[in-house]
Amino acid sequence: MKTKKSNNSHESKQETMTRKEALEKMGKYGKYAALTALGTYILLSPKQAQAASPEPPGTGFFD
Amino acid sequence: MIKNTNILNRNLLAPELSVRLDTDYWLLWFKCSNQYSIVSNNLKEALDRVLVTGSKAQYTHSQRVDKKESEAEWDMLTAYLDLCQTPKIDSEILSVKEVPEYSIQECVFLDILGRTIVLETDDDSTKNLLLPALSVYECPKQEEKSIAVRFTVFRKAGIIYLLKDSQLIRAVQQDAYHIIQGTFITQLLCSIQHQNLNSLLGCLHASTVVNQNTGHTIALIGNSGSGKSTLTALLAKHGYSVLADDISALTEAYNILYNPNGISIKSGAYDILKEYYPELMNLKPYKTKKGLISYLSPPTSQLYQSPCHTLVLVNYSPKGEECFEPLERHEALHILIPESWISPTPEHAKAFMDWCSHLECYKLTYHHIDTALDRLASLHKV
Repeated sequence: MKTKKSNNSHESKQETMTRKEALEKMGKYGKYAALTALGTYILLSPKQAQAASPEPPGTGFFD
Repeated sequence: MIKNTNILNRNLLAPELSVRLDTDYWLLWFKCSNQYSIVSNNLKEALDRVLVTGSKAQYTHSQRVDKKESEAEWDMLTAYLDLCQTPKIDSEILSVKEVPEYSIQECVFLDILGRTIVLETDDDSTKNLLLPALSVYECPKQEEKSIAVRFTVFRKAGIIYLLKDSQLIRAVQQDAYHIIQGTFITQLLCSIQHQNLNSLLGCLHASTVVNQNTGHTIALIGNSGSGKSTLTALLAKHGYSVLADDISALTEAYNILYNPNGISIKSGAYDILKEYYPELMNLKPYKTKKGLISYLSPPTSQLYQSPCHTLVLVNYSPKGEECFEPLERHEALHILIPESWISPTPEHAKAFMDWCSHLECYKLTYHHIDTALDRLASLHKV
């Protein structure tokens, strides 16, 4: 029973690692990237609110 | 999001919408996260296979490649779909229910398109966030009954609050002041044009001009500092009307709405522009951490909105080779989407994607205004 539990845990960990690795590989989506030989992708997140260009505010704003 | 990675719930992971952009690329939209993905044809086909087969076992069975390789593909593809559906949390935008006590130091009246707008601020620093781009519209104090809309901006404990007619519209960490600027001008331009903000498809990070001869409308896109505003100011002196600088609101009818903000000019562009705007040297400059900025008033125009289906990616290059060439849609959207707000409703996402799939896109690299004028004039000649 103990062994079985250990195996399950090992399998689960392996799967988690695979998944984590995959996400890490995709995390840097600043430019097009290839998913192995499957093709290229880019994930684009629009702004969550209307926003101006982040010109720095006038001196004194953060004083 | 998904617990068992060997079997997937199609409803949770599949993109809600997809549209072909170019010969080789697709645009996907994910409802849960309001995120977009551009994928190549072969990756789109692979994602479709994942969604159709629905389990790792069936996917690997359907593939002719090595089983381990096929399983690795499944892991990658499902992880990617999971990532696409995972909402990105913006910690700068705060969920504030109650407005704290505040005091108003100054009240400015603006007359824009015949509508009276009031801007109340708690000190000079919050006033200088919003007023410089609109200072040309300042007018004497008006009667209360003539006021169309009243905006209030104040800062308390490192948080900036924006109120419209005493209702809280937005609260952000003070570092995110540009969100207050964007939200304010979007609310304002909708108010002066009787447009419901909820009917906007998006607010594009673009400056928009209209050729006065042909009526052809062009949205100039590019990263901050690429010269959009400088080119906009130059075009305003060469037969173009300026609809918007920096923020272009896109309606359901694919019109860009007039944005009354002045054109922001950094001191580095003074030399290029002073020939056309001698008044530039006399305008009040605003000090920022990166230098001086002045605001040019766009020429008065009777045009308050215009349909736009053309994007031009601008790159001012003082020494590089000049060129004007077609740009694939996926390359233009790669720049535009992350810098823009896009309405998260499925109807608007669909309309936005339809707009994207019919765009004409170009890339302009220039250092002579004559080159830019010639190239832009070549578009849709009458």
